[in-house]
Amino acid sequence: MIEHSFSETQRQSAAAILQIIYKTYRIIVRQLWPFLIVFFLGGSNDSFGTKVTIVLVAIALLSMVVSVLGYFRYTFYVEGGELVVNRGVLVRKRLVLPLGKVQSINIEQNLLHRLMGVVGVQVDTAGSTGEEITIDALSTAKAQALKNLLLSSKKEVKRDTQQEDQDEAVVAEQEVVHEVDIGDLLVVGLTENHLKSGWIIIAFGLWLFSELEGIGVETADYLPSLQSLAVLTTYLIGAFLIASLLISLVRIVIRYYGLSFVREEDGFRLQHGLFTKQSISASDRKIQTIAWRDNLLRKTVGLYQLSIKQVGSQAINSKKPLTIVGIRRSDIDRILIDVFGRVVDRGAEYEGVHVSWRNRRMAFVAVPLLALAGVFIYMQKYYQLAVAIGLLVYWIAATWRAYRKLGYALIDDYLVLSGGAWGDYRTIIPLHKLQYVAHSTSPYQRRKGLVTIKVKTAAGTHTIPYLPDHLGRDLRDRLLYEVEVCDQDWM
Amino acid sequence: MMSFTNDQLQTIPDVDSVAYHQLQPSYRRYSMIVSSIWLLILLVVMYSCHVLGWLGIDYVIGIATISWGLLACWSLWVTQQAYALAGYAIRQHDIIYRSGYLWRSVTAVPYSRIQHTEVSQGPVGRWLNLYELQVYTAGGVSSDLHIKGLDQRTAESIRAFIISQADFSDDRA
Repeated sequence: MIEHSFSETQRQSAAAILQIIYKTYRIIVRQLWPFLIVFFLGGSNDSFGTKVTIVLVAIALLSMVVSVLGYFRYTFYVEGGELVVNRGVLVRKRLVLPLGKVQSINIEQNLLHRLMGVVGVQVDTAGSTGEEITIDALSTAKAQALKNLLLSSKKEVKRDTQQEDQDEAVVAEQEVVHEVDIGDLLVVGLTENHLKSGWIIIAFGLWLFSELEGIGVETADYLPSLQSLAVLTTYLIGAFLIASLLISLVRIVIRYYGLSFVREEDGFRLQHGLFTKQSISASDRKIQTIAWRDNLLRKTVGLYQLSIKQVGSQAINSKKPLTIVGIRRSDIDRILIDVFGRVVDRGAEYEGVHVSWRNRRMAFVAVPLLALAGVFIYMQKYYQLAVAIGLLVYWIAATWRAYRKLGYALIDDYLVLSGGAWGDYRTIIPLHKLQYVAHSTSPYQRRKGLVTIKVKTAAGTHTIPYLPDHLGRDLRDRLLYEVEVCDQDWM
Repeated sequence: MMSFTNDQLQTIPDVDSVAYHQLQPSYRRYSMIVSSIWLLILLVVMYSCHVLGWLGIDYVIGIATISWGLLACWSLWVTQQAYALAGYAIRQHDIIYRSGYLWRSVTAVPYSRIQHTEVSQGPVGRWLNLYELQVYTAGGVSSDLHIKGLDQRTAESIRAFIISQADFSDDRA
């Protein structure tokens, strides 16, 4: 391992140029993909097509120039305990980050990185303004050295303030908590909520349909006569199921291939990914909440999806939560013991929310659906009527189940939330991690004497809706009290 | 780890029993002006649509104008009511802000969790000499407590008090 002080001005590895170009193109494609598909499907044999091509090429060239300039304008160095980054093509920016504020450092390697033998580095802060620093490409050795430097200074700070002289383990202990082999991964893929992928297909189909009409394809010609509609529907549902299954499978395997979750000295490290290999670390101090969920299918095989949220700007968290799939309850228990010292939710009894929550939630969807059903009856559209009634039944059943599971438990220094409609979820929030406590009421809630309690941790907010007034207010006061008498740092 | 007895539970301070400080009287005017600006924008959009012929039949704009009038009366009334309810309280360990009329909320932020604070002034505020205090905790992008309608002295003194109470030792390190 090379020692590097980074005191001199550094540039990224030249591979960063490619990386920036790739990122820019990905953004462009992501923004314009419906347009691009229509454009290529629609053919480009007229002058309009030529113009569009010119614009596209111009955008491509321009973004390439900007990428190269961006590379040369991007420098960084470490000086006086601060990481300084200069960047910006048109507007030059200077970002100064005190090393003590560094929350986590993520090293990422996508396919392009791997081909060039470099890695990307992301430095996250707890700052509320989202001032994370991204270094697009750095040689692996340099990235590791930078990570060590940033983290070591953090440790020094910690030791200075706490005046502790604990001997740090020279060799970091590592212990695999959870690994997913390809068999488990397939099970996870098969038990995924296929409706989620299914909606993508439906949306895409509907969109394609309207776009084809837009460019002059007579979709009516391809529409079957009414008699074969039933056959077509059956085929469609079959195709839909198979396609959603495949999409879920592929998505899961690409994302979570080779998942390993490792216990390190005072934190965890998660690695996974087939093409883009991700490595995310979380130290125990920074972990804010631990949550896990299953669904109807996974319940039968006893697999959960665990997510560990840590301090960070919300942008980082939504993009990169520590998500561990295909984990069993026994492994979750081990993680809970590692982080909290015990299985917090064992034997928990949950306090439910008021029944108005269920009734109101049902009514919100059921009333419009019933009105719609009435219209369908009047118009004698029985196929649509059946769909509306199906949705109604689904919604009522889902809300009924969700109501029975929604609740919270206050167990010593932890707030545990429970819920879920077909599956179950649990979220564990240590009370000393709370940032604020709020309560709110709507006019309806005031009439019924109910309140909604909202708490925030550095990794997001949680609400407990529709609690009876006195219970909610007591809970709020109690949570606030616990936060204020506790001298434990939230981080 | 602290042990928690029933005795302590009974002494938990109650957020609802605190006395709230009202916002500056000119904040009532401030919120009326801001609401009026939004209502005017809505009216302009409505009439632009009408002039451009996007509303179709002629009487639509009549109905829209009447609805707008009702909405305007109602929202200005709500704004008035909201002023009367809004307020803040400074306690030993936290700052509390109460706001809203239809949807009411009370947010309490312990000083020990505050990352930074900001005193600012918008264009309408400059006119009425009103200041805003924003309080940020860790995580998230927006402020967690946003008290508008303070005079400069109050805003600055609350901020100074928060800084004296909050433990910023982590920041200095």
